[in-house]
Amino acid sequence: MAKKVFFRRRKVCKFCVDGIEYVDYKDTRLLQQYILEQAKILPRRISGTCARHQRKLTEAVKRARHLALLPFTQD
Amino acid sequence: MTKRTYELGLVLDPTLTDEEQGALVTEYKKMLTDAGAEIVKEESWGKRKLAYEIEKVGEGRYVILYLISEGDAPSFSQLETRLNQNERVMRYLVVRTDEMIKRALRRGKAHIPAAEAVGLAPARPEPEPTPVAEA
Ligand SMILES: [Zn+2]
Repeated sequence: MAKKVFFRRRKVCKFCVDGIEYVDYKDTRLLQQYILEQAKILPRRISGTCARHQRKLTEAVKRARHLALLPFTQD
Repeated sequence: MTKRTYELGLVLDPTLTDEEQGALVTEYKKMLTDAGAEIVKEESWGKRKLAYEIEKVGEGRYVILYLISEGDAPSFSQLETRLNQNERVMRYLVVRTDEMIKRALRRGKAHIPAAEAVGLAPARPEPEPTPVAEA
């Protein structure tokens, strides 16, 4: 009988790991990695982003949306 | 004396010609200079597809101006009035960046192009272009 194996990936904040402290709204390649299908921001519990970096990310995404660099949604 | 740095992001009508864009940006740069800011870098991204349509227009011309001001904080209100009046300006955004950049430089290690643009971090040499394979 096949055993179910659960892989638990340890979630770490990519910004902390890479030493990214300035989240530039113009860096859409970075921001897009944190955007879901309906243009929502990936929640922290999924991405593993720490609270501090999530705040910076949210701010950058808001700015990018204003300049139509990222799609808009209600979130 | 406080040195402040800002970015002005502009999304302009995609039907503008290069000359018209140039004239418009020159006008805004003049207003910024009059307001006490110095333009240290200008980026033109050309025509780009927008992430969503703005009044049924799907493209825009992107321009980013990097600014420095020493001493009193510059007032952007006159410029903003002009930007709001001009229907060929689809979107604009003024962001003050010096405090964010300084905090980031103290704590992080990643390369910050926005800091280099305003002289808050030394410029990194351009990466060597990837050589094109000979036929
Ligand atoms: Zn973090």
